[in-house]
Amino acid sequence: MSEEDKKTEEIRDLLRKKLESLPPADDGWNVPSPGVWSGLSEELGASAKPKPKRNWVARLATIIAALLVILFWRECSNQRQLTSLQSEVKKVNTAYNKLEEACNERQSAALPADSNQADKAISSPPKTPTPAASTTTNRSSAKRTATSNQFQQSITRKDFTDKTAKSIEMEPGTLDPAPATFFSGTNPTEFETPANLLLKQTLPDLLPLLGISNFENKLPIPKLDLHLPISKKASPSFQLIASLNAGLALTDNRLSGQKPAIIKDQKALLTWRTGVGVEAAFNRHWSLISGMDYQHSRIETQYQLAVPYRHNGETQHDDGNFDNQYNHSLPSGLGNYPAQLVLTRTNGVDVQEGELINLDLKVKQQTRFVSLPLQLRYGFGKHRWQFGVRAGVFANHVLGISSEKPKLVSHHGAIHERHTSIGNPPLSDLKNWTFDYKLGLDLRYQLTPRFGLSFASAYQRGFTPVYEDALVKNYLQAWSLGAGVQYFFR
Amino acid sequence: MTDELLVNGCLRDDARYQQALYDKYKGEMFMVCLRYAKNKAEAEDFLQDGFMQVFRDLRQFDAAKGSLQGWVRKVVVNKVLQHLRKKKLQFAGADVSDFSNHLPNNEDVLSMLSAKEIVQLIQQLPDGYRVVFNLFMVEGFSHQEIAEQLGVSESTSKSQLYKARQALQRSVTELISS
Repeated sequence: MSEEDKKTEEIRDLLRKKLESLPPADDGWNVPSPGVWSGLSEELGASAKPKPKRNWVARLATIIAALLVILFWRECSNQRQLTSLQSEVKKVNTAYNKLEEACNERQSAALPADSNQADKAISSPPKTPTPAASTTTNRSSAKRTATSNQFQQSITRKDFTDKTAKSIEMEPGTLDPAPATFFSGTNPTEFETPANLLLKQTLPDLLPLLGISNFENKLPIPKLDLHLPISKKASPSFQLIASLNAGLALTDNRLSGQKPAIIKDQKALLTWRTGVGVEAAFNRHWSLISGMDYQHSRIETQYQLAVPYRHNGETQHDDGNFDNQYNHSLPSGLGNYPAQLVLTRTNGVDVQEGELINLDLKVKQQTRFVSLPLQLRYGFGKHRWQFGVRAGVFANHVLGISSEKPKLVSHHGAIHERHTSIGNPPLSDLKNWTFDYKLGLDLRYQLTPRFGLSFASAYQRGFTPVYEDALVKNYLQAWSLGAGVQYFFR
Repeated sequence: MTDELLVNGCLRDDARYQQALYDKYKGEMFMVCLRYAKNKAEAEDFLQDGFMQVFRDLRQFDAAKGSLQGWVRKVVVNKVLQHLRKKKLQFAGADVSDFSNHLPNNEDVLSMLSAKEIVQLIQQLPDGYRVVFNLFMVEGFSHQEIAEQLGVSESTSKSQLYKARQALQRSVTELISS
């Protein structure tokens, strides 16, 4: 190795020794600003696949939505089955009424006027519910004028006790008062009417559906009065309701104390929120609601800065202009955001040492929360509509804060922005849990016995601050509007 | 945390491991970027883009071929050079007769300066001088390798280095005398 190479190698070693493995300097000259990692994590977050932890609410909402869809489909199927069953029952009832009327007419025609036993036989069976058109509600008062000449019809009955069919012709004008074969049980009041027998023959498949299995001893089949499940009187005493909600919100800072002078303006921006709910309805009016919401708050803060210009901090850029770096701490309702501003002075234009440079800086600051509500609801309404009033408390847990790309405008003709980076305040500066009260109104529409829609609006206000320092306290407040789907467990 | 754990965690896009990797090497890489940049703001841009490239290319890292530290440094330097090439570095024309083998001895003088002062002196060099100086004197590349990297001739690389060292010597002398 030549002398020259040796010298070069020594200088290399010296430079490496001096420039590498340096600890962070007190003045931070060899430490990158927090904005570097903020920018990097934003870029990485945008390109990376979403973390499961952040998506669990969305997954839970998807599962609940899928369950609701399946249950709704089943509900519609059940409704169709119920409707067809009801029409069958109506047919049965109509057929029964006709048969009963025919039977009564025949009985009336067959009975002699002075036959006590016949009267007893006819009047003793218990009354069955009949449609309004029935004429047999009071057999004892029915006129029985039987004339042997007019009665031409024969009544055919079958004997079910020994399962063989027998045909018995009745003489006109007579009635077997208590034929043994009519009795199928020990109770002489129970007997088979022709209508009953005919029904048993013609509608054997339907009887089990109507709840009658042992019909040998039964009187004329009681008619069922099936109602559709939706009843005006209905309403179980306790009911559980699950819901899925989504909506928009405007969340704002409510600063109490001395607002920092550097903050010129703050504006709440519209964000979305979503959530799942569980409601315990004690009766038609009162219910208790809980669940979990995921929500954001986005606020745009405009800062007014005045920085004195320093010549000794200048460095010349490749484009010939002179750069100057300023570090600031931007106060906000969520803590202090570290900011690094690089301003550039146009080459050839002089700025006095110490001259104030007025700057406007806009930053969008975002916070993510998980909220656990507990609300009391009073509802009232008619038919399928119900109007509700809610009041309750929310417990909020901060998940994270971030800031979006800032916008810096200089009001000095010779000074412009070169580069601005904003870091985030530490999450530990915020209160882990805050508590709000919430008042709201909602409107519900019952689509089916199981499903309903709801529309709600609310105002929410913190009674514990999300951030607090020596000068200021921040109580968040929000206005929201949303819609949801409900599932009623019955 | 070992390099293996860091790499595996970063490959799973776990932000905690990404931040840990950044925190582990940011100091050293920032010093690299400061030497190539004109000021701190530009160095931070280099650093952010350099680490973004590191996370993008992490699947290509092979622990059998070298350490993670060396690989990260290589990626960051390459990214910095990419930026600088986009700026179309100006290299003064190479005149072999200007180039002298009798280089001034800067070693004793350099040892008197702090790291911050050395970095500031390097930052004051024109872009072309600065890049070649860093690649040769600190990274340890040969003139042939530098010429390939920058798309110039070997003699251009040598002359840029010579001029960089002359300029530095002048600056150091002024600094010490002031």
